[in-house]
Order: sequence, then structure tokens, then C-alpha cells
Amino acid sequence: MSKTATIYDLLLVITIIAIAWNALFGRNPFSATIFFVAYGLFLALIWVQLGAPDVALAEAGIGAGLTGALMLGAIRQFESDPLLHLRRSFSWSNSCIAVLSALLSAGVVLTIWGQRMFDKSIQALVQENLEISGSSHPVTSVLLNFRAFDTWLEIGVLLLAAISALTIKRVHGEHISMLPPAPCREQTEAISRLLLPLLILIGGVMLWYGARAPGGAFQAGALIGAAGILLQLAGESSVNRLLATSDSRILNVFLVIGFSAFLLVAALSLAIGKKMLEYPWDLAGIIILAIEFAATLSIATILNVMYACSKTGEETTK
Amino acid sequence: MNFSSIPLYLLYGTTGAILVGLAIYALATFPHVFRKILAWNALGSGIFLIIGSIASRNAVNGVSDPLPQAIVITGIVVSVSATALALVITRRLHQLSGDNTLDIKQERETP
Repeated sequence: MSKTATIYDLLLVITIIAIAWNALFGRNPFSATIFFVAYGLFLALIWVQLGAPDVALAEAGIGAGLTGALMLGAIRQFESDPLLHLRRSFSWSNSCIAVLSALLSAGVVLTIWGQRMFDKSIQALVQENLEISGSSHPVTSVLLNFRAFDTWLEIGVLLLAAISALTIKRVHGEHISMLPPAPCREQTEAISRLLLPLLILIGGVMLWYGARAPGGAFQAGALIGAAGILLQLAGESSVNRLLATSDSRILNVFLVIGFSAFLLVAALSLAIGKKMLEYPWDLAGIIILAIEFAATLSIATILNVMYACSKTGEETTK
Repeated sequence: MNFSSIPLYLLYGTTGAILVGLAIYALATFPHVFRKILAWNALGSGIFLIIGSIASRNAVNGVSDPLPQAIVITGIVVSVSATALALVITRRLHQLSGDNTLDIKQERETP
């Protein structure tokens, strides 16, 4: 039978709902954003409780960390807008929406309860074929072997979003802001000096151990991407120049390398007469590692481009 | 009340459902785009939590079902890219029209 709840789970649930309430309805938009980051971190704790450490790592790194950084980078643009500080006043339409939202929640709970006798797990299938997947960690083998096509398209979505963001900037002749959003403080410099090697080291460890343990390309990409964002914040000129020059070859190569790695493997697997993205058994481990390495580089670069595009800084408009 | 009789998946599934409800309400009632983007992210994570609770219910020997886990990791990464794109578009909207809402009427008033 499935696991039952403890008092810790109950406290976690109460905390997360309180934090979500503050993040969504808090009057001060800045503190609401901080609450949103806290919300992501508590969500990561819940994922650990649910027995999904991979998701916990992704949620803490990407959901809380990077989304939070994006939101905090963008908030300065809106802070003075009175609409954002708007008090909620009572109105009939809002109460109707509240009732409908509550009904939606209740409906979802009923659906989950109604499915309690329904077991559609593919766990057994994954365990059976784990040996030939090239990875001893079930989540990695699903992401990069059994459902590699999904992951390929996901990198495609990331690439598309980054290209769209860059295009919106460039169509209007606007360059990505080169200056750091605020004058660099000594603290920022000291913190980034301390964290930078650690982030890159842990990112590398996560990439390498992803084949056997929780971790992998996305978590590693998020950590290395965070290292780049720290450099942007500290005003490191080489990173900013790389992101600001619109025809930077290196930048473009890094952007597409993850997608291209998948493309190459797909083409090769078709060429040797197998199905698309079907790896030869003895090479599966190497192929997964190579794809993960390329994907990590791409994800880190794409996240940096997105941060640079969405932050509010002094513009160098031409 | 005895908490130990509540299945873990049901507790977290319900939490996910409550988060979805709160986020939908915020998404519908706040006019400002920044609030809407925050609510949209919370909505996504509520849905992921529901998927994850089902995955943990189908666990074998304490290991959650790997397929929903992979789907959720994919979802988290896609939602951060969508958020970034939404912020860039919002910024452009603000620069072009001075408007921070998705309200059509206001757009007409400020040509």
C-alpha cells in the first residue's frame, strides 16, 4: 500500500499554501516575488517527500532560482506602476471567479480520488529494460533513451524561446543592455568570486553522476547557467560583450549545440538502419553522456540569453 | 485526528489542486501582466504536483514512477523558457504602448 502522511507532511502543506497565498496576493510586488522563490524551494522539499529527487533538484535550480532571477530582473520596470499595487476590492464577478476556482479544485481532488484503484505505472517496464538503456538511473534512461524524442523537442522549445527573445530585441534595433543593472557592489563581487567555482564544479559533478544518481543535463545546465548570470550581475565585461554582440559565432554555436547533438544522433541512427534515436546497446552510455554534455552547454547559454533579454537595465539603443 | 491514515499522494494531490485553484483565481482577477505571469507559474507547479503525487502513488519499492518525473522535469524547463519570453514581450509592450495589462479597451484609449 502507498505511503501515509506524517505531521511533517501536514506542516509542509500548510506552509506552502500560506507562501503561495503571499506570492499570489501579497500587496508589495517585490516581496511577492521573494515569496515566489521561497515557494519554489518549499516545493522542492515536497518533491523529496514524493520520492522524486531529480524533480526536486530541477525545481530548486530552475523553478525557484532561475525563474526568481528572471522575475526579480524584470520587476524594476513595473515597480512604479500603481496597477501592480492595486488593492483587491469586492466585486460580484470576482466572487463568481472565486467560486468557480474552488469548484475546479474540488473537481481535481475528486478526480485524483476517483483514480485510486487505477495503476498505470510503467515502472516495471523501465526496470526490465534498464540494463540496455545505457544508464542505471531510471529517470535519466527515460529522459535520454526511452523518451529521448520528448527531450529533443524540449531543447527545441528552449532554443525557439531564446531565438524569439533575441529577435524581439534585434528587430527593434535594440541591443541587450551591456551595463550591469545596478552599480556593482563589493558584496556581489565577493559572492560571485566564492560561488563561481563551486557552481561550475557541482554542475560538472551533477552532469557526470546523472547516469547513476539523481541529476543530469537540466540540473547541471541550470547551475552553470546560474554561474553565468552571476558573472552578468557582477558586470564581467567578457560575458556581457559576448551576449551583446549580435553576430557572435560562439554564442550561436553554444545555443544550437544541444539540439544539433540530438539531430546528429537521430540521423546516424536512421543511417545505420535503426529506428530514430534508437541507440546501439554497447554505445548507449557514451551517446547519452555526449548528448547530456551538449545539452548542458546549450541550456546554460540559453538561460543566460533569456536573463540578459528580460532584465531591465540601461539600454544602449542605436 | 489521526493523520497517519491519510495516503501521502492524496495529501499532496489535494495541495496541488488547491494551488491550481488559487492560481486560476489570481490569473483571472489581477489586471497586471507581471501578476499574471507569477500566477501562471504557480498554476504550472500546482499541476506538476498533481502529476508527481500520482507518480508517488504508483511507486515500487519507494522509487516513484520515472515517466511522470521525466515529464515534470521537461515541464519545469519549458515553463521557465515561456516565462522569459513572456517577460521580454511584456517589456516590448510596455515600451511601445506604456501599457502593462492585456486589456483591449485601455489599448484603444492610448494610441
